[in-house]
Amino acid sequence: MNSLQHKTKPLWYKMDNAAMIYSAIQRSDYSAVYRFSAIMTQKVDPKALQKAVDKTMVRFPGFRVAIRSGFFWYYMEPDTRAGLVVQKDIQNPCQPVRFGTKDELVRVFYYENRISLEVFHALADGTGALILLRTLLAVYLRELGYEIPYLENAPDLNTEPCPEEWEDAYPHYADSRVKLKMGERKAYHQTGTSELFYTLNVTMGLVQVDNLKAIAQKYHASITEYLAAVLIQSLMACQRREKKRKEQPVSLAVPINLRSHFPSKTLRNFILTVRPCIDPELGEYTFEEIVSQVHHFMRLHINRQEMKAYITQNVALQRLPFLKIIPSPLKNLAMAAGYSMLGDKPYSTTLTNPGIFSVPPEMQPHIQRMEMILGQSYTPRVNCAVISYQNQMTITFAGTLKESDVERDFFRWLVKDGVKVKVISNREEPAGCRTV
Amino acid sequence: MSYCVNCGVELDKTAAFCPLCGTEVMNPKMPIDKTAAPPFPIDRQEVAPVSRKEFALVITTLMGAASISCGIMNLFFFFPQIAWSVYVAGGFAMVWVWFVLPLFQAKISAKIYFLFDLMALAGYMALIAAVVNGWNWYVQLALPIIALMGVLFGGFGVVFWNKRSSLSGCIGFIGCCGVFFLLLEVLIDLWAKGKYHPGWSIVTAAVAVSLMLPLLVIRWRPALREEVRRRFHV
Repeated sequence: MNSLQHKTKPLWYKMDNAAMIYSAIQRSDYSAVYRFSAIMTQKVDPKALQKAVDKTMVRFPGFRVAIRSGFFWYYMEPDTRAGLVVQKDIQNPCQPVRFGTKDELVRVFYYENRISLEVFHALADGTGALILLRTLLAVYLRELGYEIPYLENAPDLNTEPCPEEWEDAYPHYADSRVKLKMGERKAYHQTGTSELFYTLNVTMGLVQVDNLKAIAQKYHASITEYLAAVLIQSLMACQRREKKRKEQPVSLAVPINLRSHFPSKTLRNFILTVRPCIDPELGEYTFEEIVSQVHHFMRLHINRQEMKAYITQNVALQRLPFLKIIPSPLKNLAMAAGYSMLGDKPYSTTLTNPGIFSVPPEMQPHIQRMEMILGQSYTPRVNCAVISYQNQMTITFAGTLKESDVERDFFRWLVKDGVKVKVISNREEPAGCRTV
Repeated sequence: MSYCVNCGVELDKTAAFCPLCGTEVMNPKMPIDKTAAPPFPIDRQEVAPVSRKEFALVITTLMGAASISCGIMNLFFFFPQIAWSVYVAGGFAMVWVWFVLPLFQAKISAKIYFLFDLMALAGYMALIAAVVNGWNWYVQLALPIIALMGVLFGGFGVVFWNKRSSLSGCIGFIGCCGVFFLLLEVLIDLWAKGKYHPGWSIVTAAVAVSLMLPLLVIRWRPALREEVRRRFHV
């Protein structure tokens, strides 16, 4: 089903499967906004950045849209307001999105050496946003007078936007004979003291990729699997300290980029999550056992057939005739209620790793490292995002809890395992830990 | 470079404390760099909240229209001798304060709203008292009961708001209910008979105490908590 409704220019887009959910469940204390930042070697020039944004956004019409409410579904239409304005960065990133005349679904910030791009998840997933950021950085460096060649893994600015970049890729692969549903068992959710409204505590750990890789290999796991295991262990320790009568399973939502399994050029959402899980009620787990569980779970469940069955299930919901004819306000209410009752419950937190940010050799001397931040969750807890650039990896915890127990246990374990970690944070006051 | 003595992680040169455990940075060889830019900006910004005023206005209009319609029907058609529409309008006004006012002003704290809710209840009672000329019961019974509710349940909210232990919250709530019923009977007796005769509220208080005591013991004895966990695991 092609959502482009015009022969040459798209006048409006239908929401894809993930975008519908993100839009329906958006509320003032939940933010499906994520941020990618590039730390440059030099202080950012806002004028050059503004010029670069103006030149780049023309090629990415799918990022210059506004979300509007139709009778049955939300939809996206081109944003007719004046261009995207770069802003001075703020302490509390990933602010929630409001749908209205002033909504900002894409934002660009600058602070010292940092260029940040924030995107509402209904527009694109991390892969799509990274392509935009890569292009933006190349154009910015060209504006500064550097010779940057044409990027192989990003669209050419001199070409017209092609429809495949803005298609909804899910329906193409929704042809499995079996429909699979994600587990609905309630997972452990962190508890603690919520910060004041609109505060997002960000704690970043900077590590060397080769150092971390060597440690992960010691456990016969990939870096993501190793980090997922450390995060699960930290959450398990957090739950143990709460002295609950019955401990709940600790489960992570790990987004998987479907483009590496199903060919697609889309810049919009094309992800699924895989949910490695440990149930502490089964007994004590050593760290090696947690790594092994996570490793085998990921290898077992990330396969084309299973993912296709999940996609088919998700798309089938969207195609239900009964669901289609319900007016959108009711549908949104039902989706929001369904998400808070079922969608948010089966996982404890998110761990996302969009992988290595690669740029041509000419751009490399100008970029120090990359960062990724996830917005605040439905419940006050921390989310973890990982991104690497050359040999530098940034592990970011972001959440609305005053306590920093999970981050602290996580990084202490890395240090204990022999990983050298440097920690930076936007916290103004020392975190209130439950234990020292 | 400074390291956290607790966590072993390297810290930023501008950091005054470890972001993970809060331990202060005290490195005589490398004092905190207060001139360098911190790794994150310090200016905060908030997206303007979505106005629910339109929705609140619609509800207000509906309630107002219903009240006026009832008033007209009361005056000209149905039971003009009884001012029943005043109860409807007063009820709407009370419900408006409880549910619609928060839509107009989202930033007021829950404590203030609780106060408003009690005042709305007191106002509605006053309206009924004015219609039936019952100022006697209003002053001697209704107002003290509303004040009692405010003190007891407001106090409960202040103490147990955002507390993690649901068991403590449960004990506190049962205790509040027990005390409320005890004092309620005192107030009713004093108003109706002029003297307090302990009666039904003793039963409710006894039930509350018998529920609270085992819960209290379980709450404070870790060994018992474990025992209950073992015996009653699901």
